[in-house]
Parts: sequence; C-alpha cells; structure tokens
Amino acid sequence: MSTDRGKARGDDVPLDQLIQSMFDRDLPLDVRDHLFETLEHDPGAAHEAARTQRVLSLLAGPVPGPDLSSPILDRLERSGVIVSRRTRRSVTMWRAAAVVALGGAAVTIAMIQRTAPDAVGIRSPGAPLAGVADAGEQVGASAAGAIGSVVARVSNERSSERVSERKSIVPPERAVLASRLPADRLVRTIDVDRSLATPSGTGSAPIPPDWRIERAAGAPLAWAAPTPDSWTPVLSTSSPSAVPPVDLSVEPQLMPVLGQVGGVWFSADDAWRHGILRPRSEAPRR
Amino acid sequence: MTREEEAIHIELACAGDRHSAELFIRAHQRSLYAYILRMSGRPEVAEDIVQEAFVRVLSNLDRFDTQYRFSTWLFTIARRLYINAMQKHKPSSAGDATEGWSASSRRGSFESWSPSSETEPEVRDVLQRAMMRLSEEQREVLVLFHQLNWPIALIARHVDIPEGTVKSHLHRGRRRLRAIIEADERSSRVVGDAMGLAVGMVGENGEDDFGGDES
Repeated sequence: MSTDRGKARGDDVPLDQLIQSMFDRDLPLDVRDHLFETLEHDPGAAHEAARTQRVLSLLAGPVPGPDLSSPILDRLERSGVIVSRRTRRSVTMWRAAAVVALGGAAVTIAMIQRTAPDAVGIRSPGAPLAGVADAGEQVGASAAGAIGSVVARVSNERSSERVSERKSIVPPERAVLASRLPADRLVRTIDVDRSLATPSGTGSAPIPPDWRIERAAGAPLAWAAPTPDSWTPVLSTSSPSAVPPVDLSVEPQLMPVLGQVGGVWFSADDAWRHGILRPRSEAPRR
Repeated sequence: MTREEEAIHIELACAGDRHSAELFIRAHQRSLYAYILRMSGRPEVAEDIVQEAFVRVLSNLDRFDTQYRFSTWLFTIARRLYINAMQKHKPSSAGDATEGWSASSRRGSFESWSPSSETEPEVRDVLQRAMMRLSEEQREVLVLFHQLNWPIALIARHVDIPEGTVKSHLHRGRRRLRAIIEADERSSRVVGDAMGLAVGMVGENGEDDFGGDES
C-alpha cells in the first residue's frame, strides 16, 4: 500500500525526471506537490530547476514583429480572393441602382398599359391570338345556327360528361357592351338580371345585377365559379326552365367572355383587344 | 475564436469577406511570426513566410477541412514553406542565421506588444543566438511547446514524430538551451568585467586629463 502511494507520488522516480515531467506539464497535482516538498529540502536541485525555469520564461516572452495584415490583405485583394470595402460598397450601390431602375421600368410599363394598352405591344402575343380572334369572329357570324344546336345539346348533358363538354364549348360570337364602360374596359356594364344555365345541367346561377352579357345563339359567354380556380361554363339557354337552377353555396364569380377558338382559350381581355368584344356603338343592330 | 465562430468566418472569408480574412490574420500572425522567426532567426524570412502562408491558406479556404483548426492548417503550410526556404538558402553559420535578429526589434511592432525587462533586445539576442545553436528538431519543439503552448500530442502530429520523441527533444533541448545561455552569460560577464575595467581606466584617465585643470 505504501509502495503504491510512493509510486503515485513519484517516490521511486529520479528527481531530475520528475523535474522534466513538471516542465512537460504532465505531472499529476499530488506528485507535483510532493516534488515541491522535496525541492524545499534539496536546495541544489531547487536551484537547478529555477535556472531551467528562468531560461524557459525567456522563451515564453513575446516576440515583437511587424503588423503584416495590410500587405497580406492587399495581396489577397489583388488576387481577387477578397473584395475590398470600396468595391463591395460600389457593387452594392450598383445592385441597388439596378433594382430601382428595373422597378421603375416595371411601374412605367404597368402605367402605360393601364392608361393606353395599345401604345405598347408587350402584352399577350398579338399575331396568333389576333388570327384566332378574327377566325372566331368569322366563324361565329357564319355559324350562329350551328352554335345554338351545339349549346342546346351540351346544356342537356349530365355532370359525368363535364370534361368533354368543356372541350366542346363553342366560341362566343359577340358581346355587346352596355352604355357604361368601366375603367379597365372589361365587359361589366349591365342592367339586366338574367340567369344563366350550366351545361352540366346542375342548375342555373343568377348573374349579379351589375353583369350582363348579350349573346347570340346561346354561345357561352361567361364562366361562373365559386373560386377563381374552378371555372365552370355558364350558358344561357332560350328556355332556362329546362335547366334546374344551380344551388351554389357561394356567390359565383363571373369571368366574362372566356372562350375557345380553334383550341385556344382566351379571356375577356383578349377578346376585347382583338375585337370579339366591341362597344355598343359598334355592335351590329339587331 | 471558438470553433463555431471560426467555421462562420471561414465561410465568410471564402465568399470574399475582407473583415473575416483580417480576423484570421490578426488572430494568428503574431504566433506564426514568432514560430518562423525562432526557427529561421531571420525576420525577413519570417515576414515572407508568414505573408505567403496566409495568402495560400486564405486563397484555398474552399478546400479547408473543418474537422481541423485553422491554425493547424496555417502552421502546416508555414512549416512547409519554411523547410523549402531553408533548403534554398541554407545559412552558412549560426551567425548568418541570426544577423537580422537585432534589426527586427527596431521595426514596427505589434500594437499590443510592450517590452518588459525580460524581453529587451539584448536578452532576445542572447536567446535567439542560443536557439540557433540547437538542432532544428529541438528548436521546433521548444518553440511550439514553451512559446506557443501547444500540447505535446499536437506537436507530434505537426512535426510528424511520436510523442515520446517530442518529449525527448524537449528534455535535451531544455538542457542544451540552458547550458548555452549560461555559458554565454559567463563569457559576457568576463567580457563585461574586462570592458568595465577598461572603461574605468578611461574614466580615470579622462579625469586626470580634463578635470584636473579646472580645479
């Protein structure tokens, strides 16, 4: 037992080795205390340790030297590894200026489009749609009778055939604006409360009092939907009583004159710009 | 700088952030300079190697393995640069290696450095001269252990030798360094005594030549 304790305290280790271990910083605390006790009683060894400690304290002193951060950073900057504050600031400013310029351009274009939509030709592709619209106009005028029969057939089909019905919807032939034109020039002026029928036959929904869409030969002129993502064709029929009324839980939204011509769908906005919709003054008299 | 902070600043420096790069330089330039200066004994070599090591490390931060510390990588690169530099320009003698040492203390120094009595230029000269008379291995482990306070295990990895060999170099290096410095002191004392004697004689002669007339 005493031998173990002695080993732990370094009793059987030569004093010089203990001193070296102390300088190596791997002497356990109790062994170090024991070493100090031993050195107190051995002035010669204590003097030797003190002299070594003095030399090592010289070594541990600070080493003066130049501040090399500037030349190093300059070299890194020249080689493009880091970006200087000035460059970073100018890049940030250029980015901000570009964002402001782009934003300004977007606002300007939006304003021009709103005030004079024909002044800039950057809306939906003009040429194909114009061709489609013209074709739709011509076809619509010449095939009014055929449209009526198609719509009548479609309006009597069941909800299970809704998808195929949508594909078979014929284009609007012509919508006539009422006397008032709203600011956005969509077809919104309306004075007649008329019910439209859904082609699925599930019922009819009342057109809101501020909407009216005139049509010829029963072509679909509007889509109704409880949400903007679920548009359903709303058709007018010559005999609304033949179609059961629609019991929609929410007020249907109407998107005026969304049609399909030659497989291309177009909105009321497109229809207006390409002459499918016309002001009342330009509409043919019936 | 903690390991997490280091990782953040490495990412920022990687992206070209000057401030983060500067943080690394300011955190490690002093210890790296001391290491290379103690090893080479030449301030201009130490300056060149410190600059080159930082430029290389900061230019290749994208290759840095974050399981290591930045300082470990930096010192490894600096050590390789030092070895290459020493192979190209081997000093012909210890005197050659230490000739620039005194000049270093007259240059611009680190902002926070304040000279103490123990680190005055003469003492540093004595120490550096003694260090240059140690073997390369002894000098390196003494600097890393006693000056930079690296643990023995890290020194062993850095120098690529077993820990036992590091300790062996430490023990021998300490003994030899002490012996050289004490021998130097003894010879200085002899020279100093001789100088003091000579100065005393000049002083006495001076008094005789000039002071006596006035009285």
